[in-house]
Amino acid sequence: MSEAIEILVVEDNADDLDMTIRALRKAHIANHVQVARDGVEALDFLFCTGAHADRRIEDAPRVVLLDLKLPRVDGFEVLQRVKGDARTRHIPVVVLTSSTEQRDVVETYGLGVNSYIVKPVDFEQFGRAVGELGMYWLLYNRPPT
Amino acid sequence: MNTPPPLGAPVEEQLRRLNRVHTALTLINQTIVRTPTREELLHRICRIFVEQAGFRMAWIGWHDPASQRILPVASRGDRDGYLDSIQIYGDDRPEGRGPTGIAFRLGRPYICNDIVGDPALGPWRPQIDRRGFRSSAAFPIRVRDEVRGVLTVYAPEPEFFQDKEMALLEQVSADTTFALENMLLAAEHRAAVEEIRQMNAELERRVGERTAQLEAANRELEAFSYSVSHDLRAPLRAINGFAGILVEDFATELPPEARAYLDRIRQGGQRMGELIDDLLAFSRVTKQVMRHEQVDMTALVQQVIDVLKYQDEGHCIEVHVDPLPPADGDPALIKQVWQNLLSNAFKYTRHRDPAVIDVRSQGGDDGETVYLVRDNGVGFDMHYAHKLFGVFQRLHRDEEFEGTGVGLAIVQRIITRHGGRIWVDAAPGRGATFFFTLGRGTRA
Repeated sequence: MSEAIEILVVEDNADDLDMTIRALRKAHIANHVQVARDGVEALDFLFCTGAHADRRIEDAPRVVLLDLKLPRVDGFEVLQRVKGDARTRHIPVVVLTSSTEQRDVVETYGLGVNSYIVKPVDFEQFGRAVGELGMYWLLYNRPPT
Repeated sequence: MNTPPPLGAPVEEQLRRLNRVHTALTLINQTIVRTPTREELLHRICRIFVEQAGFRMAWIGWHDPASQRILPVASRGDRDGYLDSIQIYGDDRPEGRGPTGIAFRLGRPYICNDIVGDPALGPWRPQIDRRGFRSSAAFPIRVRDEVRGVLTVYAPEPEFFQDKEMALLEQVSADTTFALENMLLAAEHRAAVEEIRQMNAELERRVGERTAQLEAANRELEAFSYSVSHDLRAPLRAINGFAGILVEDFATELPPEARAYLDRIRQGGQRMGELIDDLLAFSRVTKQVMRHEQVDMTALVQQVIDVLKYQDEGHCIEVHVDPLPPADGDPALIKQVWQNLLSNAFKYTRHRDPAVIDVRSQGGDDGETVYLVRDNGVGFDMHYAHKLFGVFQRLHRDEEFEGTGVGLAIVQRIITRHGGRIWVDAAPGRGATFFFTLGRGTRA
């Protein structure tokens, strides 16, 4: 079995995905990244179902970067399922979205999101934001053990 | 005037007759008060005449303008279809010259105290004889000053209708008129009430419809700005991002000209990002639910100026803020107004040394407070003032002064939402003064 996954990136937009991975790589934290291209894949990974039925739910990622607008199952529902389940509730979820809509911020915080980041349109800011939030959750944040 | 009692009619008999008529009048007046409809009232009047007052027959005919006939609408005592067998007209044909027709045409009572000998009853004599009618009287019934019907009563006695009886019977006809007019008024009142009710219902329906349309438009607008926020930013990020990656990862392999073009791409992308952000800010101003509370304008202005001064370090600028009366409105939105007006003042005085900005208030028409921001910046030609508050309208080139042209559109929208006004006075090279009110919220 491969090494434990540290970051789950849930992103349907190929451009944003490339830039996110690149930013994580630049921050030297791209080694253990799993990508889910929609909400169903994300839930399969997190709850060890479907293609990920052989995973153990205890091997949770250290952080989930979650887009809100996703095919099939959207980010809100993924967030709701993760935060609504005692086995996954502790996993830090960072919403990384295009939406500056106040109601999206309010709703996701209501669902228990750990952080809400608006993807900067500016390239340098984007790289910095992704790199820093990866560093924060992987290096500085101390999860319950 | 008193008519001497007719021969063979003793005083007791006369009193008895008068009493019968008086009874009829009393009962009819009671009936009038209690009877809700015209048909019912006319029927009851006829019944009282026959059953309580001893008349042989009583009927009420109503004029039908189309046929000129006087059609029976109520009757009592007509045992064998007499009224159905005769035709009475309201005009001057032979069948219109009987007592009922005459009373209708002339608009006054017609008395026939000797039916047997009255030539006017010629056409109907055989029927009358058979039924034992000996005298009759017909009274016009008026509605709103127009004779509309006739009440005709028949007595078994000859010479029945004397002055006193006639006076009482005319009273019956007058009271009937009164009752019918009241019913008409009541009906008109009901119709008016019903009309108002229908108009209200219609109005409510239309308001509901409009509201639904507005809500639909609002939802559409919301969906629009949501998708602007989401969907336009993603490709923009790709443009900026991959241009940035090219610069970052392949800078050494690119000729300087290519790098310059890449910079232009990124600047364009950045500019578009600002436009989208400002457009969204503008649409949020409309959607946002407004709070209403007292706002300390002096403190608000000071906060805004402190931040602007901090951001604009090195710019020699004198800001004078007079104490301002408080306003009533949404603190965040009003702060946005000051923010946009004052940052404009800072921006357009950039090349002045010293730059001077005044913030004051003055009394306006109708006791309202007018707030104003005056600067000694570049100003503009008042010829273009009407464009100033439009979205994406700019009076300066980007190279001179940066901006998206949304700030003042936001300001105007916020002020309009507060019920206020904004206007401007400016001259090229001599600065600009923006005046605004916040509607009734700032009334002294």
